[in-house]
Amino acid sequence: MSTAPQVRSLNCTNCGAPLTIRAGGHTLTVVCERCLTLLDARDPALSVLQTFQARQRVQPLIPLGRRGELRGSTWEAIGFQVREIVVESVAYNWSEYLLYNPFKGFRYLTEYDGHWNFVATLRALPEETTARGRQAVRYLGQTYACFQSASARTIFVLGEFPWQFRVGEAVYVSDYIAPPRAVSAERTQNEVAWSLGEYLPGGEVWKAFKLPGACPPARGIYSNQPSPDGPNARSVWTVCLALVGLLAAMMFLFSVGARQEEVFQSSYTFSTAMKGETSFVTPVFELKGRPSNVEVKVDTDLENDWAYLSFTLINEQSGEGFDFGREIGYYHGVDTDGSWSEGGRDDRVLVPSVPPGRYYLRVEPDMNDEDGKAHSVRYQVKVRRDVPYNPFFWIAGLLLLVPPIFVSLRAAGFEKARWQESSFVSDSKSDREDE
Amino acid sequence: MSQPVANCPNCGAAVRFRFSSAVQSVCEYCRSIVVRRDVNLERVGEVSDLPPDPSPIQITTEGIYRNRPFVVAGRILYEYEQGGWNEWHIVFSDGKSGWLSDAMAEYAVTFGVVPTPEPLPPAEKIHRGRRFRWYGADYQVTLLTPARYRGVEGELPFEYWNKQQVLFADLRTSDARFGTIDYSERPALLFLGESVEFEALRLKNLRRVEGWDA
Amino acid sequence: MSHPFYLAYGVLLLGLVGVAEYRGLSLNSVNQVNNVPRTVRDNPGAYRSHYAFLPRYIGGK
Repeated sequence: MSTAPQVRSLNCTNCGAPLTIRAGGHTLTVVCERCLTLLDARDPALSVLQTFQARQRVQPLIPLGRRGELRGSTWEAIGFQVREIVVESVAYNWSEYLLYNPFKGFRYLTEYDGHWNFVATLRALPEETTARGRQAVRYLGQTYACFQSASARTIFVLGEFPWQFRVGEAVYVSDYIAPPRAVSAERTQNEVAWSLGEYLPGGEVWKAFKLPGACPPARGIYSNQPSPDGPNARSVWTVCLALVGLLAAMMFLFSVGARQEEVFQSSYTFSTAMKGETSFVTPVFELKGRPSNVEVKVDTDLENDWAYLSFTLINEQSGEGFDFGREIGYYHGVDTDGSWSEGGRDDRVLVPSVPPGRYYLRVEPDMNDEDGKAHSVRYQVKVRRDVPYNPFFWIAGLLLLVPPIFVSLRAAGFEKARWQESSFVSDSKSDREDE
Repeated sequence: MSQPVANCPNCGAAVRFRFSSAVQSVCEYCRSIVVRRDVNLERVGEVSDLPPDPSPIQITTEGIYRNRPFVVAGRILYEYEQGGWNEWHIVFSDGKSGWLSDAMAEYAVTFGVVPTPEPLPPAEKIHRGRRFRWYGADYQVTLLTPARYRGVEGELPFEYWNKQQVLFADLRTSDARFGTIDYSERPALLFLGESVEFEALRLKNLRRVEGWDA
Repeated sequence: MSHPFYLAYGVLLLGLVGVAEYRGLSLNSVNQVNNVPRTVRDNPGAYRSHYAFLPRYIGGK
């Protein structure tokens, strides 16, 4: 079967010098560099080259005869084919390279739109099953969901394959995915062949075969392309849970550890009818401990009226003061819609970060004195030291949720885009669109 | 792989063609372009070539299967419409015979099963996908190959072989067991065994493959 | 350790919350004044609070 090839050499008919071949697209010209003669196209050797060139409709990205290192072994690219499937009236074609190592056997590299897969044939049969309403197979404990089923035809072949096939031969291909792996079944009348593929980024192929330039960029999302978020989408929630747990523990500890000490309490009345200076000061009380908050609570008996209380919390020794005013109003009644109310009788304010020391309150009450009517109010002032304050915990909790929600949404978006390419679309919306 | 080698018509140096149907190469010594005249250009792009016999196994190769050493004593070459494969006759140290199937660099060791666990269906009734349950495993027919003997070598456990068309049915299980139904005789012969990895056989005394270190 | 950035972000948040809680901070702010004289205790009317001057509140429906 293997006899020595019959050859002839190509020399310039004019000056006998070696020649240069330029191959551009489907044509081929041969030029003598010394005397710049174009070789006669009728030269039989040249016509061999030109015919070959014309028949090379597709150029393999990995030149045949090239060796590369993948998965710890050396492989030689010995065959190349282009296959085509037609899905919903659109033709898709992809390339396959046959890799060979006499001690390891055969492998395949498939390429579509810049996405590569390293494929080996399976000796053990996957089990057919269903998963989440879809066809699936189980192999070595992993479930692969059916992604696509179509008839595939070879449209171009170059080099060697361990079985001889011709352009036009068709097989029925079913692809099942579990990114980054995929299982395929190829069926003909007399045969079913199973294979397992693993997604490879183009850069790895380029590096393995030391190919020049850059690999073609990957377009779109391939069936078994691993999600860039992948396992992160799940594990980030575990970290989130741990952090939220810590936050909850902190909230509990601060709540339980707060002094919540009532340091002052008294009742007062005010009336617009009162003459003279209406502002007053409370007795001195002590605020203990670290510089924590101070709660000033006011309970009134307002009835369809408002009062304004100006407070100043003054440190007796340092003269440091905290100035704040509170508007309190309560209105209610009954009308055609029912009973209504607006505002409230009571008020509560937190003074933040008050250093410890001896303090008193200066209070200046005020009410409506412009309508000529008499207004009065009875109110109680309560001061508590170091009360629990939770808003920071809720805010932090929400902020902690932002990154995992973002990652999950992004991963879900990727999967949605992946399954767009599948020939099994499960939502009825796109079924209607086909009609 | 099979990179054909020719002598440069100008200077006589060895010129290697990158792959089986490559038509041009450049002589490294005299820089002439060397063109092949014997490539069937009609087939380029349309039909794939067969690699020459890729198997590194040869008669006298030794190996180990399930801790039992064996020697390769003989070979049957089969040919079918699209290619071929080898069945190596292996003999164990206790004299028992087995078969090492070598197809597209995929290997399986099988032994004849006599009597068969059930009557085997006739050749007309067997089809891809047919299932059998033998010895606790579910076998499925994965390949039907009408083939013929292309040649024999060395010692074989029988004296006469049939040169006519024979149907072979390959069966596989989900745990990599392997079987073959050989329809060269009536009743059909059954061989059962398993797929094996090349490395697992720990083969010694292999044929040197040019250009490759083991 | 997975997600180092998220973990650092989370620990930072928790740290900030811890500090804010420990120092008794809150979202509302209160005007601080200094050097309030002792005489205010005897004569509260003499002290003019920033909040004494108020826009008249008109309530009701």
